[in-house]
Amino acid sequence: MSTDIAAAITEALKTVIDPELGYNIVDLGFVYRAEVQDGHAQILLTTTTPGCPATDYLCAAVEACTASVAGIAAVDVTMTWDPPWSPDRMSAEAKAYFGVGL
Amino acid sequence: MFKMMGSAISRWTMPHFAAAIVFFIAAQIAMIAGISYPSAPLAAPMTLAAVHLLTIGWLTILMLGALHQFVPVITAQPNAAGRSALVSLVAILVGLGAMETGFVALEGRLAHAAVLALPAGGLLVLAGAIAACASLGRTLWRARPLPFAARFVAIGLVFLFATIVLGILMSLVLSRPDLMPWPRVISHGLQLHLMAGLIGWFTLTAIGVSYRLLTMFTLAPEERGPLGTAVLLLCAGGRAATWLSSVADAAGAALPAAVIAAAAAVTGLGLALYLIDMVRLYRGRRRHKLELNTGMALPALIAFALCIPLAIRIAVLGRAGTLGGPLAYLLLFGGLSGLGLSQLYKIVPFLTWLERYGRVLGKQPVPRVQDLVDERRDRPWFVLYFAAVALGTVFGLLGRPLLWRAAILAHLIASLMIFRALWLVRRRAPLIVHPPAFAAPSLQRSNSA
Repeated sequence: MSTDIAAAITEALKTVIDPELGYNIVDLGFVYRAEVQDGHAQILLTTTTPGCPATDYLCAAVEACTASVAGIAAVDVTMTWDPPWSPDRMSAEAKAYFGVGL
Repeated sequence: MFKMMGSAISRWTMPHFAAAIVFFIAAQIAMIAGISYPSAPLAAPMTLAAVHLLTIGWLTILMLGALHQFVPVITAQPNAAGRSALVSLVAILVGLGAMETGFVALEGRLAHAAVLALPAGGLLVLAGAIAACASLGRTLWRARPLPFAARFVAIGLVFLFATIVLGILMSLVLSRPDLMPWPRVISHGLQLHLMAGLIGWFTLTAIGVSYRLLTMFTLAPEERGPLGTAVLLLCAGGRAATWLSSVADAAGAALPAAVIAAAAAVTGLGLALYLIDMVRLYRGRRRHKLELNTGMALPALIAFALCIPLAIRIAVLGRAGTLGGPLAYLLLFGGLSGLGLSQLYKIVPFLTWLERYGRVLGKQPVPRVQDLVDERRDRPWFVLYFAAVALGTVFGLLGRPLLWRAAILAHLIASLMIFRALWLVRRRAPLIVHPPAFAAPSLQRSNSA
């Protein structure tokens, strides 16, 4: 995957927020993997908890944002809770915002 | 492409909440107006009318509405509620209306024949509970082995049925004493009905829901370890043992009082361990700053804690006549309603967000759930609510019914203002819409705005 497309996908996904935490899913560490091969993007995504009613909306948003990136022809979004998400996956900025580690 | 993974929004949860709120206001007005306890005796028909507005109208409908949404979340299963949730709500509303008619007739304010509306209403409430549990039970069944929090809910639902069936039995004896001359059903049944409802249905379910919601909202560890297991075993086992031994006693088995007392003590120990685990949960949370819903769950938990010494005092001194009212008040208004109000403050905005903004997420800037409420504006009403309940409990213990009613007026005003805040969530678009590139500095700016 080219660095340009990877950076563009990351930027696009930063427009998607977890509504309850109120922070973008990239810095929250919800995106476990983002791969592109021949214009086909595969995103492995998680949420704070399985069964969250926002899950389908997050999936749809991730699909739409990834598809909007130049050079992406198809997108597959897969949800996983293995391994389960934990606040340790947050970026340093997100951790500081939520006071994780205080 | 993606496969649908999350639990859908339960479309009948919000109507449940709306109905419950109306009954909560009505119950408080009845108490302030002096037509029920604390002005009338605890067992007076009009007190029973007000109490059932609170227990069925407010707490049961609130909890069932919440469970229709959160059992699928707790169990990570698709929502199975569908129309059965609506059928359940309608049956309970009509049933409660009939029960209220029956209580008024029992007071002598309507033709005596109308007393039969009491068991008829009870049967409708039972039908409503069956309709609700048909979908909730199906979801729980699919999720076997049940997750930790769901186990409390499953046991709570069993006690819901025990409560209703006992209530119907007592209402039959009250309405047709000529056909059913069984005074023992009333003398023993009332205590069993109270125990099954207050501790079995309300408290165990609240424990389960609080474990799930508070870990989720505070980012605390979900795994509760041996302490959580002890809470489940002691609360559920103790409650079942207390209830069954009391049933045996009522049926004439002549059990030693120590057996029932020991079973009750086990439940009390379980509740105490639950509160200790809640302290552990809050201390172990990863989300340092508490939001209003998680912050205001704390006084509700303190109310639960204060119920324990009061219950012990009643058990040791046998002063249920003077302490029973304040204890039930503290549990119903401080613990259960306090927890309900504080979590409604998060659940209503969250469900509203999903309805309004879920479909446009990632396509246009959207607010956060927190942007739908104004915590600074609403915090004083929560403080007033809990302060009024604390004062009401003290006035109840001191035997000052007029001051107690004044305290109820204060928490009625507070709850009305909290409900107004929820109404605004449903009515208004948020004032703040954050830029799409969401980062900490912009959040901090908007929070301080």
